[in-house]
Amino acid sequence: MSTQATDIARRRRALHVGLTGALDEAQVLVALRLWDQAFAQQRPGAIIEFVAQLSSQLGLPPKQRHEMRMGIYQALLRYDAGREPIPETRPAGARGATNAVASLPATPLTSVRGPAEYAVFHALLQQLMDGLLRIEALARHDVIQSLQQQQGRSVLSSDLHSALIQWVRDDSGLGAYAAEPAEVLSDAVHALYVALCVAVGPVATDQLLARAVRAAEGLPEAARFKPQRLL
Amino acid sequence: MPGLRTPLLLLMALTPAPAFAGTLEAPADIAWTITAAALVFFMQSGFALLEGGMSRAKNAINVIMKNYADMCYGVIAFWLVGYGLMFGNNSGWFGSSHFLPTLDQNSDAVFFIFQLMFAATAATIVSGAVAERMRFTPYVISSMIVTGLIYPLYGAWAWGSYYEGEGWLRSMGFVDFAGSSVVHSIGGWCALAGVIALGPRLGRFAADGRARAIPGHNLPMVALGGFILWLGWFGFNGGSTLAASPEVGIIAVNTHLAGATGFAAALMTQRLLRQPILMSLGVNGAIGGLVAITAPCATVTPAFALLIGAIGGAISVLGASLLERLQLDDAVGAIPVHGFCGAWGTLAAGLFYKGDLFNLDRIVVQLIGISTAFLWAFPTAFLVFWILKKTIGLRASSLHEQRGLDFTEHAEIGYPEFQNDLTHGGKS
Repeated sequence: MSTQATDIARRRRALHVGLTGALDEAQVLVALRLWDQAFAQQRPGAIIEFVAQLSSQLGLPPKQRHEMRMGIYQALLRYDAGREPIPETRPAGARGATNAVASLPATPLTSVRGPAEYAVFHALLQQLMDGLLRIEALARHDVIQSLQQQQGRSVLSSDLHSALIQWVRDDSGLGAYAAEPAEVLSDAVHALYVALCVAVGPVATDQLLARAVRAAEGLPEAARFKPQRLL
Repeated sequence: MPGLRTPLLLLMALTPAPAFAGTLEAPADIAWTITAAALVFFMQSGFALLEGGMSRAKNAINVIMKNYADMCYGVIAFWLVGYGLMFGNNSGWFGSSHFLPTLDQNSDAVFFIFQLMFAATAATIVSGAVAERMRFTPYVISSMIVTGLIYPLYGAWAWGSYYEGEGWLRSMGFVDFAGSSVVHSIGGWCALAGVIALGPRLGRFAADGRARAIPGHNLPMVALGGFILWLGWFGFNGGSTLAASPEVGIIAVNTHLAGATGFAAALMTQRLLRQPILMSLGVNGAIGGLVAITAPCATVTPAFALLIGAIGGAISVLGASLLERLQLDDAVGAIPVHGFCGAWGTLAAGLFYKGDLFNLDRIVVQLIGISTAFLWAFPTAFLVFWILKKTIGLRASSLHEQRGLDFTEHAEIGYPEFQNDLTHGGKS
């Protein structure tokens, strides 16, 4: 990853630390979305404007707005400019890193139309992302960024790669690939695996993958097409 | 350099008999050296357990296969060319006889088997550092080059020759009794080259540069491997006398003391750094202490052995931290333990030489030996890895990293009962 990309990721994490002290979890997600869309790449130094827009969007009272601004500056000074290690920003329940993955219950599987290969593929991806977001609520951004960096080097077609990114972003756009052969679907699982390794590390990713496979084995379609064939 | 001649002559006069000065004809000498060779051979199982345990379950077989390959292919390379280069008639730079040795003299055969085990040890240091992402075939090729060329050539300078002539480092009075530099640093610098050429494992470092821990799958294996290595070290250092002589006693004592303080110092260093006290780093600390005492084990007092081991243990912890800061992914900590501690031990052999403490001339010679080891092994190994990378490929694909090298390289998995979830199901 380039130094610039590293700096952006670092600043974002520092910002996350600063926001966490002043906002609740849902508001933090809104704030980071605004940051990613309008500030992270274009105007990473425009903190006052970011605070103003966010306060207006969330309707924050002046006192909370002030606390948020101070929290952001302190975090940026300490972790971004000062280059100290940034503390983990997972939800409290997910601290303890990868052991949290093993104890995560599988989420209910949603059925999709298409061949057994696609049903199993979709379930695997769904479980992977679900597990990921439960241990690292803000990892979606990192996964998307990593997938974008893979584009061009990936064995996936450009269209499918873009569709995978879109699916990670908003859970849509993969249905058009339901008829793809298992080899192609396996490549897509691998692309997501690599992105997860970059986002949360290889140990957590392997555990998420094992959990996703176990969950996908519960599908009726798994009797005809084993999830392990997509690994 | 005429000004250096007198001090060098003095150094040579003060230097103890070289490692292979024994005649290897007395039955006791032969029995001891063969026993020591067997102990050094047993160290391979220590390396296999330690490196296998420190890797993830999906790569354990691959790591152990590499340990086997080091020993078995290393035998071939060392017999073909390595032995002749290292111990053949020496012009100062390399040996030029005894290739494909027939070993007609019994003493030659005893000497050969002991040295063969050393060569395999140097090569096997690399396997742990590059674990979990290096393909098997290029690894075997690189391992043969280490045992057939890189290790023996430096060995010829520092230890050559067993027959006629003398290596240039040895003739300067360089002290490396059992191989802190010759075996361990050379292995460590080759490992560093491999780590740089390969790059880190997938996800080892986060986007902001933080290192992520990738814990080994079996820490009891690591601990047992550490103990076996320690046991083997009595043969490694004690056997380097090539004689059942009384000095084996003090060598064994120094070896053991340095291993013990290496472990203790590694724990204290972690404590001082306010890190959790990890067993894996403790084991590496003990090995760091053992590596450090390998060069000076016959030429220092027990008090200095304690100090040398302790500093080795601390170096192993601090070195691992340094590598993480540099985003160099050494899967088992081989570079700090063998490379850095090997260099320290070689320097310590000059600093704390019994009866001749802190002799500046001796220290300079030791520094020349240390830097020569790096300047020879690192670039040469890097070139080897680079050529392999550009020709047959060095690194396993990310898909193979996902599936695990046990399955993709050997079609076998270490723990089939427990790995079904993540084992590739075929066809795709």
